[in-house]
Amino acid sequence: MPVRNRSDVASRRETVLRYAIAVAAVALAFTARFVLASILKDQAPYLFFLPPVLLAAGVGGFGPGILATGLSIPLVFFFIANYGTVGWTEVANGAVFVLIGVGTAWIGKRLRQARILALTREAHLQSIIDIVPEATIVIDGRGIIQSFSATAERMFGYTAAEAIGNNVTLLMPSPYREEHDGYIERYRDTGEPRVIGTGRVVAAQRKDGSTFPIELAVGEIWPAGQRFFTGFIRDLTERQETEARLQELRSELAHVSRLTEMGGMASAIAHELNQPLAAIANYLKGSRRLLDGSADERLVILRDAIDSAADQALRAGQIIRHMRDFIGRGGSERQIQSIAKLVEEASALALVGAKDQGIHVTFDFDPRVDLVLADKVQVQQVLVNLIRNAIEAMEESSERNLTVRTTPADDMMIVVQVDDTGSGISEEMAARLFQPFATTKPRGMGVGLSISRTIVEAHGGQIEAGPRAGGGTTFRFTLPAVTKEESSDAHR
Amino acid sequence: MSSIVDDDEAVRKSLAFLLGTPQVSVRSYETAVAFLAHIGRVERGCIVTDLRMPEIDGLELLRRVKSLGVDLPVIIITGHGDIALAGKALEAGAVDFLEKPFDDEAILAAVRSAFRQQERDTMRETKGMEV
Repeated sequence: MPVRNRSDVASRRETVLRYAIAVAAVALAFTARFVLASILKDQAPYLFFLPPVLLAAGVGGFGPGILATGLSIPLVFFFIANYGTVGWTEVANGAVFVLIGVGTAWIGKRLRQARILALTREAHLQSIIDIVPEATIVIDGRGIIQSFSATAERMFGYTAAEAIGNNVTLLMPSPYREEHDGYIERYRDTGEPRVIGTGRVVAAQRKDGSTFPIELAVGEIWPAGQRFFTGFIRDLTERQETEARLQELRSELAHVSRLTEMGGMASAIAHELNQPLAAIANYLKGSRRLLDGSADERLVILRDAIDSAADQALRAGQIIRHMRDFIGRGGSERQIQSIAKLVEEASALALVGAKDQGIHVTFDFDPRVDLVLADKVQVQQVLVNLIRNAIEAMEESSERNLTVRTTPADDMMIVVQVDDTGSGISEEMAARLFQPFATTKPRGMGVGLSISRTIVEAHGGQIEAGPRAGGGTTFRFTLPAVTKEESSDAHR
Repeated sequence: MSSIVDDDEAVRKSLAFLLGTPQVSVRSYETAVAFLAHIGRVERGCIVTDLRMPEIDGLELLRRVKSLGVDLPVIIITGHGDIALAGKALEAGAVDFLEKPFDDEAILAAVRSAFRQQERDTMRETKGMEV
């Protein structure tokens, strides 16, 4: 029952009702006594007026109790006067009745107060149960559902009316469904708790039959010698989905990072091998040309052999080219992506475990630009690299602000900028920041930014770093923007 | 005469050898800086330059040659080519783009074509002056 601030009008109406009940009860008692007056005469006149006093005091409290008592006295004396005589005995009886009436009214007042307090407490409790994100279910000692909160209704798909009275196993998939009665029994016999007092993650079942993970905490209460269990249930679906997504992103990143390294290596090997292969081919082809037109039969054979050797050097070049193309293709899959989404996901990943460092993160996405043509995981790897670097750079700073901002740039590009308020970088370091194995970190290979540059340049963009106005470092990289029209063309 | 600019000695020498067989006269430079120092003395012919070199790379050399107003066709050779890079080089004014290792016919055809283009340009200029 939700707690509401009752209006004054409602409160006044209730007061009137309480007093009206007192008047009506007394009137009823008088009517009954009046009907029976010819038989009862002046015998036990107070007897009929005790119930109205009790009722008025019990329901209405002190005031109505006193009113009922006060109304009863002249009515009682009406019967005494009509059917007997008014003497000191009657006056004494009347005084006792008044005392009893006042006492009853006082007890009624206390009862009413206790009842109001209990109702208020229940309303408070109910409001809490309705508001907390956990579903609350109360079962009795046999497992029968006694109470089913609004959150439980939403979580399980049953209404409270459907659920209450059923065994709580209704909400469980097999094998818990079959075993739960046994759990309660064992607990009753041995007193050895399994979930009571501690929380644990278990599976639950919705009305539609689908199961979902929950975190269950159970408390036990013994009001008036009867055992009840209260279960607090948190739906873990969303949390597990988030964790699964983060895990997926992490493994995707690890995979791409390996591919990028492989691609970088293949690229380096290709370059290094192509130089000597070019020299071999040049020498051999040149030699063959010198032997062109020779009449000597042996020189003709030699010329053909040299030509074949040169062709083999060219073939080796082809093989390397294919290898490089293959690895390059395998590692990259460009699609139209929302840069805001990429940034948000990458930030979630990079900020894992960094929340307690008190870092203030701000996103500033320019609404004019959003879509980019990019390999999602590769670009996220760049972002994670930059954000992680920023976090590490701010470890010693008192002010820890991280800003990721997107802005449009010339030539249909989008600028993504990562600002930190960290220690900053020296000019000497800025110059060689993107070279492999350049690092300022005590631990770290110094390949993160080199890989980032490889990725950004492969996308046709550029990456640069510089000091941030007001301290810290700014990293900026560009990606090719895609307009809404281009994006819809691509989807057609 | 063709000028070869490549920091790899084996490539430089072998290319000079190959181009020398059909009597193309050759002069080699280890760096773009060395070549630019001599550019005043190079009047005709073409430039065959590597792309990845320390200090001044092939693209930058190409831009400097163009900005100096020197009318020498530039052929880019690289061990590290991709389509985007080739596009950039051709956009910047290179007449050809070859990936190492390359066929002798391909490089000779590129050099001859560069020579012919230069001759045409020279004739056009001469004609222009006559008019």
